[in-house]
Amino acid sequence: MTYDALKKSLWMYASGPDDDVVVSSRIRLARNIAHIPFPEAASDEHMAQVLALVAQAQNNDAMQQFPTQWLSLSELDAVQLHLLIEKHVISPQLAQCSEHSAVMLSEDESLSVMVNEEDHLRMQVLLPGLQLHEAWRQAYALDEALESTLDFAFHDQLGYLTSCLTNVGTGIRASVMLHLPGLALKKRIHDVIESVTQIGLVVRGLYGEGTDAKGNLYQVSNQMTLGKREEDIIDHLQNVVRQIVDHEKLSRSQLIHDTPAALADRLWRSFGALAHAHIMTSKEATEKLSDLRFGIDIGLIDPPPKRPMNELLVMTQPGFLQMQFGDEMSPMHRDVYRAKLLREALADR
Amino acid sequence: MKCQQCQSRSAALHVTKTINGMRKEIHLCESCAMEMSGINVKENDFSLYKLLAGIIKDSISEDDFMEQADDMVATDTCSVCQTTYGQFVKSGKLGCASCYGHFGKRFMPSLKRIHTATEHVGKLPRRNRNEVQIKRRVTDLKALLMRLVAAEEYERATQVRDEIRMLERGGDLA
Repeated sequence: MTYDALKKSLWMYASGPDDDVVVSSRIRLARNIAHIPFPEAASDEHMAQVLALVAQAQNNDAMQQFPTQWLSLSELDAVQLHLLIEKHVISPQLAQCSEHSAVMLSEDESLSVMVNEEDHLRMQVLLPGLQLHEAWRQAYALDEALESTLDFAFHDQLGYLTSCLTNVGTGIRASVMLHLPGLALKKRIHDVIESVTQIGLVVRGLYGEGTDAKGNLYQVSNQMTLGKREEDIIDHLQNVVRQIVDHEKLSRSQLIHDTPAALADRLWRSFGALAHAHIMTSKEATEKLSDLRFGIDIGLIDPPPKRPMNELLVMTQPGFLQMQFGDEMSPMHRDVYRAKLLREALADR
Repeated sequence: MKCQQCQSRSAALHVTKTINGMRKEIHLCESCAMEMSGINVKENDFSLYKLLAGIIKDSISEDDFMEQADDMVATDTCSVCQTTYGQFVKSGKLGCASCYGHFGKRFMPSLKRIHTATEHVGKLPRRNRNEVQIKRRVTDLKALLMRLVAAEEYERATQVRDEIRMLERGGDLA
């Protein structure tokens, strides 16, 4: 098995609708194979059985429309696992049970199927920009293809059965990653989060459950998975996201109109630090990259660096630095390499 | 075992408590238990504790009792995957599809709180898509039939009744 973990995922380099605010869209479906205990209560033999059944399904006729590579997590090293998490291709939870887990990955990495995470299968479609409906179309087709040879645990009343009650029914988690520097600078972000939470949506940080919102990046997703059709869940999220996008754009134009010098000063100072600093912590890089992205999106920092912002965001994460520059790096070394990488990227405009 | 209160229905709740060396046993059917405690079991998944607490709070302290009720519920075990209700409460994860049947009654109120619904209306698996669609259609038609009869629209009601019969006899969706 050869896998180049430094390979870029589609969302990192391709553009998409409304991508000046919506970084990426994701649809995830949770499924379990009938008559086998969920991973929580599964024995090693059960897990092996799940791996074998999914590996078999990978090669069924219907799956030929989704060519994928099979990665056994036990054959990847810690740095490679870290990279897959940083690219949002797998979850941190999957990496924790790497002994019996695997991931099926499409060539452009927009499509992945995690095996033996919290549920037997977690299918994911991850696209750049606001493309929830397209992601759902692909996830639906992937589900159908896998189902042609896999029998999923299903209950007439409760729908698809999952290990956690929060996923039962459709098993769907639709989410978008939003970059909201305007709302943050106008100090309106908490109002937005509060109102979004009141209408059945969840707001999280960059790396999902339990993580902080770094670099003004927020994940918004549906909470309820039962009692609504997938299309309705997605429409609801899409409508709310459209409103957040409008609010963010309004905040941005207010900042440009009301305090142009202060805004330009802030964003160009961040550019200066990214372009010239020799030591850059992960926290500082994430904050400054948010300013840089903001500056590019409003046309202030022009021309933009050739490397896409999503790529820079991921490339400055610890796993990527470790992989690119090799060796076991101390945090101090990492900060030096991060600064070097950013200087080179910003010189190339 | 018969309910010690009404002496007719079979007992569904059994509690044993030893206080100062004295063994006390209580056996009640669900309706007597509800009546005695004034709590509806079906409304709240944790009401079982309160329910029993209400019944025997005269004889033992509530804390003692809660501990025991907790133990009793916590050791309830799914016969297929051996996951206990206690493990589920702690981890938030069920062990297998059968856990839904085994613990369903206990967690149904929580499920309703999370999703504000208890009925799946989304995508269906290919293998029983037709079957579930027919069931859904029959449920809808039966509701429609009730409304039509109430509105005295007998002609349409007859058509709907015939469609229900056709579907229930194995007919296919139009």
